[in-house]
Amino acid sequence: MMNMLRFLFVGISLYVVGIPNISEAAMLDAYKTMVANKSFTLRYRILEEPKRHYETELDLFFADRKKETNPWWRSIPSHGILVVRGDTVYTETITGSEWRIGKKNTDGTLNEYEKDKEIGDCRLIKNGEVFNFQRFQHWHEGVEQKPDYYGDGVGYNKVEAGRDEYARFLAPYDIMVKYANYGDPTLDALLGIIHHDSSRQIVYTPQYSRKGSGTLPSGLAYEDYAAQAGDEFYAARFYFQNGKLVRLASAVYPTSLDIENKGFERFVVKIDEFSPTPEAQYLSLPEGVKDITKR
Amino acid sequence: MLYINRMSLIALIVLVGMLSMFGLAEVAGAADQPSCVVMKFSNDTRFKKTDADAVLSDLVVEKMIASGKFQMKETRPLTAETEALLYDENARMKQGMREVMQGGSFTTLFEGPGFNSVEAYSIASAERGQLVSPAIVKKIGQDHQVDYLVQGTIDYIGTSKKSNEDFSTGKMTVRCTLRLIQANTGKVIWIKSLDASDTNTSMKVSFFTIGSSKLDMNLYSKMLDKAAKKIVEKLITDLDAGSLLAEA
Repeated sequence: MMNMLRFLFVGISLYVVGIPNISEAAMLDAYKTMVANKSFTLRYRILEEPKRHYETELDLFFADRKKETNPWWRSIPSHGILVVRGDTVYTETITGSEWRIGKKNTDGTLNEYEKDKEIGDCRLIKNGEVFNFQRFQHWHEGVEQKPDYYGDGVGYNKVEAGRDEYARFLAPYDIMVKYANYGDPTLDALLGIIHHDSSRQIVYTPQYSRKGSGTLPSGLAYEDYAAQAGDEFYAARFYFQNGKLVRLASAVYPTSLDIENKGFERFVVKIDEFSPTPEAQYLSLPEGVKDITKR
Repeated sequence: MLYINRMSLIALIVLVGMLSMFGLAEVAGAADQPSCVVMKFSNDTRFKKTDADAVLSDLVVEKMIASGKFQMKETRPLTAETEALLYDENARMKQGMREVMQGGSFTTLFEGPGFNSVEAYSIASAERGQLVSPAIVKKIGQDHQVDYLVQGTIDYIGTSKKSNEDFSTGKMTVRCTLRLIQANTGKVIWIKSLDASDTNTSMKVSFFTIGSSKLDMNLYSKMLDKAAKKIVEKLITDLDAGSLLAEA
């Protein structure tokens, strides 16, 4: 009887202090459902890497002159959009204008020409075909101009469909999931964590599990996930504001002592929009762009 | 005789008074001067082995003392662990990650440096307004009894040679950064980067060559001295203008 009471007391205490927090429904689950349902629009910004030094002699060896005269390591931040409706997928990664640090003048100010330009690397996968093109957006005295498109290998305002080498075996969306190819490595990691589906055999994708959750003094709620794959340990924290995913911070750490000092990858993604409604305008070729594919 | 004595006494009193006034003024001046300790400089160029960071650090200290505007304190050696936490850009992230791997909280990792723009990765990469390991910096300030830490970085060293039929020049350029950190908070309150260069020129006159365009140690020393002079001048200009400690 005493043992039973003790058991009950411990059980109730654990419940009250909230240790089984992990068993509660995760806020991330809503996003997992969107990704699994193949129906969403995601707008994101990969935040700029803070200033860093060259870390090793090897970094310096590979650093080009621009990096040396610009003496800090900085990843080039990007932003973009991912729209998915079934097997029709549009990705655009934008690195342009103020995002292009390499185009700064020597005094650190932005190059005037580059300031007014934005380049989006776009890919539309539709009906098993892949269209790769670039979108050039210009502004004239602050007014947005009609964008120009440049199809890979064919020229301005026309595109030619290619086939992904894996397209013969898998549906395009599965290719993206399986090979984590959403147009940007950081986004690959983000969706890799969200999409985690143990029923699939995903190549080289760490299997994240939920480790905890809580609320920061700022009022942001968070959920923590971690995974171990090979010689690397993965940790991620998803931030939510009123239940809405707003930010992801992630780190990858080599666990082998031999490579411990060789790197520590981290990235921060700000989520501007993650909604279950795919924006239809992105799921067909842009207006004025001619498809010259010979079928 | 008495008159002379009285005059001597007055003169003595005036002299003592003036001396004590100057003395007091000096003490008062010293109290107003920002007290600083210079931290190890770092070198982010491929010329790490040239000890340019140590040379620049010595030159900066020398010029700050010579200016008479700062109370400089001797830097005591830091423990290896403290130095790693201040200078190794990954040290605190590694600390946080180890905590996660041992089943601990994710907060040290994800709310620390590298994941927000408030905290700098390291003392040598801190930007204006960022915090540098506040607890460590505060302790350094207390141990040295100073209000500010001075830290510098060599960001770039470059050489170039040009020549034509008559002239030949060898040029060395250094880009360096100096930052002033408030010990009490760990906040970077002032930062300046600048370039300094020096040139050796030789001229051909008939069969003779006057001067030298060699990239030698003399040129290297002069270049670093120029850099230290320029950056300390900026520090003093901002101190005199009242903007140096404005954010403190």
